[in-house]
Amino acid sequence: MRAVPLLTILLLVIAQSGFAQNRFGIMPQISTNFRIGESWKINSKFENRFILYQYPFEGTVRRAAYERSDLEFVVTRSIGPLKNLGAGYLVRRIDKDGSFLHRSIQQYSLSQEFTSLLLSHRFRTDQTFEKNEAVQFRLRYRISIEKPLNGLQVDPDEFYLKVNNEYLGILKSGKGNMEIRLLASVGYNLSESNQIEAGLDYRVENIIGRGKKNLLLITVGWYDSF
Amino acid sequence: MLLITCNEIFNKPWVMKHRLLLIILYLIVNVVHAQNKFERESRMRSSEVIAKARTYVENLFPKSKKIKWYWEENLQGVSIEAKINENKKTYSIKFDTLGALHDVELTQKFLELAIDVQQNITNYFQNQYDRYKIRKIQIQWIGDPDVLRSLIKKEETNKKYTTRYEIEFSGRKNKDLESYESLFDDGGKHMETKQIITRNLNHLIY
Repeated sequence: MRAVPLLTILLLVIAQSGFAQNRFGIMPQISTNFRIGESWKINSKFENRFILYQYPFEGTVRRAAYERSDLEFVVTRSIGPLKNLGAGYLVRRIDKDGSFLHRSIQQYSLSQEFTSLLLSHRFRTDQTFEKNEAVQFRLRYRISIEKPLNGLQVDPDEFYLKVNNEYLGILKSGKGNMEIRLLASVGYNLSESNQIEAGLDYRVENIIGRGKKNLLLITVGWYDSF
Repeated sequence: MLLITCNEIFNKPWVMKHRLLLIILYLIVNVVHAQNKFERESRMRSSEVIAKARTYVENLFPKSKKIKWYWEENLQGVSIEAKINENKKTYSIKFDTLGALHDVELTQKFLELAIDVQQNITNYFQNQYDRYKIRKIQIQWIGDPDVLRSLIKKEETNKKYTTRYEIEFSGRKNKDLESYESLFDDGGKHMETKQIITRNLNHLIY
């Protein structure tokens, strides 16, 4: 019975996707963690997005194109085992007009270890500043689950499954909207501090009102820690 | 020649001169390593498990549909472990590779321990840490397979066996908050503590 509301939502999303903009692309990312002392860490992330297909086509140059690059830094302080508070900054170059976007980030994350499961929660707020645009405020919650594909925990040279689900509340010029993201990927744990992942990231943007956007991305990620 | 024998290394003048220093360094590295918890396990099919161990567990839990088997490597060696969830408890039954029973572990709540054990463990944590939080408790039984069978079946036994308590917790000491695993004897007296090394969770947060 629990599956019925979920199925209804899924069917509504699929039914409406005929009126939405659909895009498909690839999003590689490199994420590195630097430890500073016992409690502080800096995470830097470099992420690019290439659109391989879009319908309806809203651009003027080409249907498949490089879309944007993000460079993000988040400084975190450990406030307990598997609990962190952080603040950061993101700069994005948008290829369409060569403009830059700036974002300030605040986050709290906590992780829980179970017998054969690792669960992480991330609560984030961010503010986006763009030329000739009103400031955009977002409130985000993401849950991530890691399940080893062999044994009770992910050891070096073992594969794992990762699933993320994120909900974003958006406020811009007094108007609210929502975005939902769902990611499923398979990772390989090269060592305790080094992982590579590949998966699919599905995003529904502008859920409230008209102009819904569906985005399906192939994700490739490399995570390293020093 | 790339191959150098041990004798050639030990006979080098620098090594001869600093032999004592090298031995001390080697021991320090080994002691530091041994104080951290290291485990690596992988799933096994029940058909791959030695019959002696499989029969012991299947006879104890005939109604349990899910007996999970693991091949475990740690600093002490290699073992085979069965995990069974029954009545909201998790049983871990550990054997050596020949199927000889090593120990049985059973998850417990703190209030299920004997009052004096609770008191001794609480005293230890309060004396050693500024703040602490218990995450997991397992009672560990070591002894004859027939005795451990009786204990799992909650039957009375007069025969000797060893009881220990394995506790995973987070503790704050000198402003450092870390995860640990401690072992206590049957009276709740502290035996040893290992620091648990947490994996990098960068890939789950970002």
